[in-house]
Amino acid sequence: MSSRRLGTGVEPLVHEICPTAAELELRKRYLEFDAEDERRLRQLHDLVAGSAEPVIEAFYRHLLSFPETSAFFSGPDEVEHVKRAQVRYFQRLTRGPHDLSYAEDRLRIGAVHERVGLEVKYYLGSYCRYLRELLRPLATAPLDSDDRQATFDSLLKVVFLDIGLAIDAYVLRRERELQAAISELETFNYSVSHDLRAPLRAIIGFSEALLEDSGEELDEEARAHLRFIAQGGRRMSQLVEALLTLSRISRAEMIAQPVSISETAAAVAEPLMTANHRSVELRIQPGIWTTGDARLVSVLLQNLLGNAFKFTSRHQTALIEVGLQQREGEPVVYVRDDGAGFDMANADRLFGVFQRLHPESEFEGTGTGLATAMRIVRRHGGRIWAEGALDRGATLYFTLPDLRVDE
Amino acid sequence: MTMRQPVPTIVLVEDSPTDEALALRAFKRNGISNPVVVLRDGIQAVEYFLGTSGAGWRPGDPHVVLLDLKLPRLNGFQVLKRLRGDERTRTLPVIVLTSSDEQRDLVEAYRLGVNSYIRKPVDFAEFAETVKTIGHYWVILNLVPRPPFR
Repeated sequence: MSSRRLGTGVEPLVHEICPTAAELELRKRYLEFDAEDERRLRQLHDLVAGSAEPVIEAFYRHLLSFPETSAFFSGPDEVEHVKRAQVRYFQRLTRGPHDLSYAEDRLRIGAVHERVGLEVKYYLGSYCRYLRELLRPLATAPLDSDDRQATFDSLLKVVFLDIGLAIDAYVLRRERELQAAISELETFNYSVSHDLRAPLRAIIGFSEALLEDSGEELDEEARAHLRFIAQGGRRMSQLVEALLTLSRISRAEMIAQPVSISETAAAVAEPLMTANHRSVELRIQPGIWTTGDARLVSVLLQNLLGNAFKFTSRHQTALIEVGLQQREGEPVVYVRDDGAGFDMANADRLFGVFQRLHPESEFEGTGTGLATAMRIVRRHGGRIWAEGALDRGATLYFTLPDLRVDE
Repeated sequence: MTMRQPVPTIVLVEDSPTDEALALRAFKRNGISNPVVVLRDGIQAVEYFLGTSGAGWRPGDPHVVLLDLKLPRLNGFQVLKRLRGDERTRTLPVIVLTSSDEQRDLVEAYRLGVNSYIRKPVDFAEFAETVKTIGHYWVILNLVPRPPFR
């Protein structure tokens, strides 16, 4: 609330988000706010000019009665200072002119409030107060009923113009913060990609070089230790790659188009089928379609079918199914296997990063497959969940946009 | 009659001593016995090719450059830009050899006129295989234009 304490530092933001003259003009035209409104507000201003201070006094008694809002003030001096600023703010609402400099002032105050962390509901609450305080004198003003109604309209228009600007200050600021967070993430990924791999290359490389060049001079225990170092490095490298994949999935550009889930699943399963020397029966319901990003849908099915093959790998025979069913009136795709399954008590851990429900010695992997699958589904606005039982297989369900069976 | 191309010098622009050692070991193991010059940063690389000291490369000397991207002082992109911007080094074979497989790095490297972009594998065996392949292709098989004044 304190413009003295925190009024600085918002100027670059205000400058950036301030509407252009054309944008402000458009907003006014949309609200049907014109020169007549300016004139009527000015007239109202002259009527109520003297009452600004008591209005703000009353408003501050209200505001200070809430611990949530009174917490923003460090003491009585600050309250006095902010009150004076608010008197000017209140008076300018009706005095106008409602030009670019006015819009900038509204954005500036909005940005300051956003910056100190005052929630938008409190900010907007003050407009409700202004409106009530202005409607009361308007009701008894010496105006004919047409004029009174028109001034009432003008007041609504200007308050909505202000609220639009206030919300912009909040929303745009958050957008900037989000953008900054995303670009920080990009920098992080970029750095991982460049910097984390080189030391791993040294760890793996020199332990293996040592084994190759001088392995014979070492005893078996020492050679085993070198192999452990290399294995650890390779494991770390897998984890780094998995994290990079995960983050690339999150920021990949998406192009929505019709994608055949059935055909994609068949294409993804083919190398998995030939790599398996077991008897795996694969049943894919034909003609399942969605509208989504073809590459991401393929990565999704790779992860789900990859899991299905992996977690049935300890069985001599396996049945893996992909199909579409209606669940509570909603089309849902399922990928079902009859493999190792999982305990439903752990279902919420399945989709976490680096979460594994089986020991590495039984089923290899980085524990990012379902986290990746979940990001892909969520980026499409869908849901994914799992059902299963230990040793009785797992079924992964997901929704995607526009799921349908179209032979 | 075909003239044998002279043996090119391999210029490794690499700031990591461990990556350097791994690359040199892989050259040696794979019978790539060409002279190797190691440069530690981007300024050294620009100096070597475009400097006035006369100590480095002279136009016409056959060289193959293996360029890392993340380098001190001038990075790999800046080096590449300087080399491609100069008539003398415009056609010099430059191969980016780096840890990153970020799309934006690939796009930028090709935009600046790199001849090839190779990701340094983290795995030891793959790294050795990659260096061997680079050696055979770029150092032994690949032909480059001879300077007109020879």
